[in-house]
Amino acid sequence: MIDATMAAFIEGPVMTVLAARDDALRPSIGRGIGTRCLAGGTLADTLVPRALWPAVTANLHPGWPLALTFVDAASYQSFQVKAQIEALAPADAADLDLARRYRALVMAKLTALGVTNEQMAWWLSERDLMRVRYRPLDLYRQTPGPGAGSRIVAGGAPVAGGTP
Amino acid sequence: MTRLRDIRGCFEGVIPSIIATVDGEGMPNISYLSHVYYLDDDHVALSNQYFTKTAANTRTRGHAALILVDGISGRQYQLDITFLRAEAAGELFTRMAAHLKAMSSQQGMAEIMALRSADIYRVTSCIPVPCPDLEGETGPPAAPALDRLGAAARLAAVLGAAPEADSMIDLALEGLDRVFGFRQAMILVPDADGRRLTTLASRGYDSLGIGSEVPAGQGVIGIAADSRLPLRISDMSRGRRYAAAVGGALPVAPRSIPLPGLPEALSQMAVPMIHRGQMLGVLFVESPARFAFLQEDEDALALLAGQLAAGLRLHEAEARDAPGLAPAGTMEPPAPARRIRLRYYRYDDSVFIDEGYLIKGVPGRLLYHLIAIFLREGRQEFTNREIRLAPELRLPEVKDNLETRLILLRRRLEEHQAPLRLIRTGRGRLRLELDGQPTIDVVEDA
Repeated sequence: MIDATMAAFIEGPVMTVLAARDDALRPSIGRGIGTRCLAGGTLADTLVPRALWPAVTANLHPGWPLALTFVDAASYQSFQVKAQIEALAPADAADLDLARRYRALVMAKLTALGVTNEQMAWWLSERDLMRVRYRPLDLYRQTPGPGAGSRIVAGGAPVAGGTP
Repeated sequence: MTRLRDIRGCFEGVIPSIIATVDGEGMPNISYLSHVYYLDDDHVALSNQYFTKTAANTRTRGHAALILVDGISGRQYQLDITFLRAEAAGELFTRMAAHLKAMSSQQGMAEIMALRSADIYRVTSCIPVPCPDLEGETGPPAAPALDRLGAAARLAAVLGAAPEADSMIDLALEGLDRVFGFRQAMILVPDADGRRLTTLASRGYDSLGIGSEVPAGQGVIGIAADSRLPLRISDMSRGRRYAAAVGGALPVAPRSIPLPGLPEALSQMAVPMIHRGQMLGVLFVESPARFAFLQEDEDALALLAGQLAAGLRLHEAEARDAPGLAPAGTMEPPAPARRIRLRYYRYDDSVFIDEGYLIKGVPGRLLYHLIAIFLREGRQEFTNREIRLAPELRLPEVKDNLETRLILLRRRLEEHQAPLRLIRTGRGRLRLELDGQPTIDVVEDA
C-alpha cells in the first residue's frame, strides 16, 4: 500500500494532521508527532499527544475510519491517507524516541523557514502520547494545484498514472 | 468560548489553517486552507478554490473542524464550524478574490487559483489547544502598543494643514516612517485610462522610481486599485511557496522605469485613496519582516489614504480656481551653450531626453506641450488654467488630475536630473527652467 518512497516521505519531517469523527459523523482534528510504516507499508503508527487533542483522540477506536495528511512545509508537497484504525495503545519508549527524533527534524526544517522555537513549542509536544495503528486504504496526492485530490493508490492497488 | 476578535492573529494567513470534514460514507477528510477570513465573533469565511471535497462534505454534512494558528505566538485554536452559505458575488467575495489574486499573482498564477465562492460558517466552538509543556506560559511580553488611531488622526491633521499637494505627499511618507515605522512606502496614481498606476512618490528605497508603472489588476497595488479595497499580505513567502507548488513563471515587464521595491518583501499592504467615489491613488507600504502590518495598521492607513485623496482633490480644485493671469514672457534667456535634445512619441506620449527615457502618458504630453510653447513663443511661465484649456492636450473636462500629473512630471524631472525643471511659482502657476536650448523631434508612429 505505502511503497518505500512514500514511506520515506511520511516518516520524514512532514507536518502530520489526523482527523476522525464521532457517532454523529462530526469531524475532529489534531496533530500527530511522528509516524512509522510497518509490515511492508500495509500498516502504520502515528503518535498523538492526548492532552493537546482530546477531541480527536476520543474518537479513535479500532475499526473506525481515520484520515491523515503529511505535508512538506517547504515545498507544500502533500499526501493524504485514508485508513481504518487497527489498535490503540499508550506510547512506549520506542515511540517516545520516534517522537523526539521527529520533533528534532521538524524543528530544523521549520527553523529554516523562519518559524521560531517559541511558536513550535505549541505544536510539538511529546507528553501523554498515544499510538494509533491503522491500515491505509487509499492514498491521495494533495499538493496544491489542479491535480490535488487525485487518487494514487486505492484499496491496496496503485492507480494508473498515480505514482507520487 | 474564546472570542474570535481576540485571536485576530490567526486570520493573517501566516501559518496555514487546516480543516477536517466527513464525507457521505463517514470517512474524514483533511484540507489545508490558504486563508480563513474573520467576519465577526461568530462567523468565519473560507475560500473555496480547489477544495471540492471539503466544499462537498460541508454542504452534505454541515460540520467541519478547524485548526487555526496565531501567526506570531504559534498558539493553536480548535474550532467547530457549521456551514451556512456560499457567496459567489458581493463585497466579501470581491475582497477574498482580490486577496487570493494578490497572493497568487506573485507568481502569475491568478487564473489557476481563482476563487469559486466565499463559504460562510458559523463558529459553534473556539477553544485554545492546551500545551502541558507551556503551562503558565504567557508568551513574550507584549511590545507597547502604538495608539494607531490617535497616530493616524494626528498625521491626518498634519496632512490637512499642508499648504499644497507636493508637501502633503512628502509629509505623508515621512509620517508613515517616523510615526508608524513603515520605512518603505509609495504613492501611486492612476493613469487617465485606468490601465496602470504610476509612482508619484516613494520613500525608503534605493531609487525613487518616480514614473515607474504597475499594471492595474496585477500585484498587491494593482489589485487594490482594481478592487478599490485595502489589501494586506502578512507572509509573502507563503504565497510564493504555495504558488510554486502549483507551478508558474514571473511575467516580464516591458520598457519602463524600474518600480522601487523590496525584492524580499514578506509583508505588503496597499490601500486605495478614494474621495467621493473616485480612486485617486494607492498608498502602499511593505516590509522585509513577516506580519509587519496588522488589521489596525490597515485601518490607520485607510484613514490616511482618505485624507490624501481629499487633499489631492482639494489642491486640484484650488489650482483650477487660481487666477489665470496673463502668462509672463521669458524671464531670462536660457544658457545657449547647451543643446537639450528631446524626442516625443505621439502614440504613447513618451518623452526621451538625450536618448534617456523620461516619462509617458499625460505627463509626457504635458511636457511636450510646454516645450512646444517655449519653442514657438519663447514663453516659460504657465498657468494650470491655460494648460487645462489647451485642446491639443485632450484633458478630460472634469477630474483631469492636472495638478497631480504636474507634480509627477516635476518629480520625475528632478530624479532624472534632467537639464530642465518645472518650478511651482504660486497656486496654479509654474515656470519651465532650461539649462540650454531645447530641440524636439516628434515621432508620429509606434
